[in-house]
Amino acid sequence: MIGHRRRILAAACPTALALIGLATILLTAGCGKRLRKTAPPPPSSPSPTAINGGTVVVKDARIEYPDSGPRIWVAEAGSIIASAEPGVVKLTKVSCRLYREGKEVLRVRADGGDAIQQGKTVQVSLAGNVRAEDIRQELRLTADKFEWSSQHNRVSAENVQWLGMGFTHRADRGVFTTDLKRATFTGHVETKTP
Amino acid sequence: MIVKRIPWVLCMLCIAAVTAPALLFAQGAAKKLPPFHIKAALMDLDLNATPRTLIYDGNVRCASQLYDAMITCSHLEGNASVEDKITSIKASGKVVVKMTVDLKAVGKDTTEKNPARLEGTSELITYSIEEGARVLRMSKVNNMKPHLTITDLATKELLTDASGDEITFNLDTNKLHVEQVEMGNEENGQ
Repeated sequence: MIGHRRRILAAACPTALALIGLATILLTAGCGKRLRKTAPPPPSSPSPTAINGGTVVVKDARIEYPDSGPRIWVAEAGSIIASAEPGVVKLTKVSCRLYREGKEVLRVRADGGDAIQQGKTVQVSLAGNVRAEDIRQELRLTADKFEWSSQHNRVSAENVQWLGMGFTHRADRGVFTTDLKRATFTGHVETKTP
Repeated sequence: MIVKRIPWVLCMLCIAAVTAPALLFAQGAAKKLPPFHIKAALMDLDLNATPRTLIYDGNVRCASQLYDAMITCSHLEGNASVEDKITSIKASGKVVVKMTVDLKAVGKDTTEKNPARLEGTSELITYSIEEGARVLRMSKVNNMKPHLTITDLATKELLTDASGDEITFNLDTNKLHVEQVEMGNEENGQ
């Protein structure tokens, strides 16, 4: 009987020791991970401004134009690339505010685009998931392409859908006043009235 | 004295609360044309104009589920009220209108239906609300007289074949009015 107990203890002791050892290793590894998480991130993020072959790239930037006098446009973008040509910028993930006589009239978002600032005028060309909304949030516009000229108070859009007051208008192309209240639609025009 | 009047005042308030929305709803329904689905080659929109205007050009097709209506023309003008409702449409240039109307539905205590097909041609057609009713008005332009036929859909019987200087059809009462200005007489029918 005693011999049988000794045999059981002799078999159980190494197993118990092995389990304790394994648990210790696992706990130590877990603690290590937690410590690495709380450690500060390495200072590896790049500088927001980079100069590549004559162009300046600014990340998460904002443009206000002009610097003085009645505002014409404001843009916030994921990146702004200022080319060597003065007044010309490329924008990605852009959100614009368009002004008429110093008052904000339209907000536009798009995947990307270009802007040309010359004197007191701005021309903006946007493309990809364009979404515009008037300042009262009553009139909305979606389009594949969007162009705005501050000089002519005119917006033109391709593959456009205009929504407002229960009406939906679709067309291949549309030309609008910046407040979206007057428009000419051409090509496959479709309207759904309320 | 005042305490005795309270139940009456409450009663009147309850009646007003029940009837006012019903009256408002009835007025709203009478001021509006049904929803349209319009297709064209070109459209001008002006929300600054009074009334607000929508002008369509080029192979215009204007459809509505109410009356299974289809209007085809070369030029169409729609007016919208400030409440964002289409109050009238004016179609011109080789206009063809097709609708399905229910001739038995008006003023009858019956659930039976007598659908009829209305087909009209004109150089000018207006579809608007007149005195709370939806009215189709077809007018003569440049000696081109409007023409209207109404055919019983069940029996295929031709119920109306009218031509005149102006044809008016009230879609709510089914009253047809044909006016002959040159002859100096008028025809009426239902």
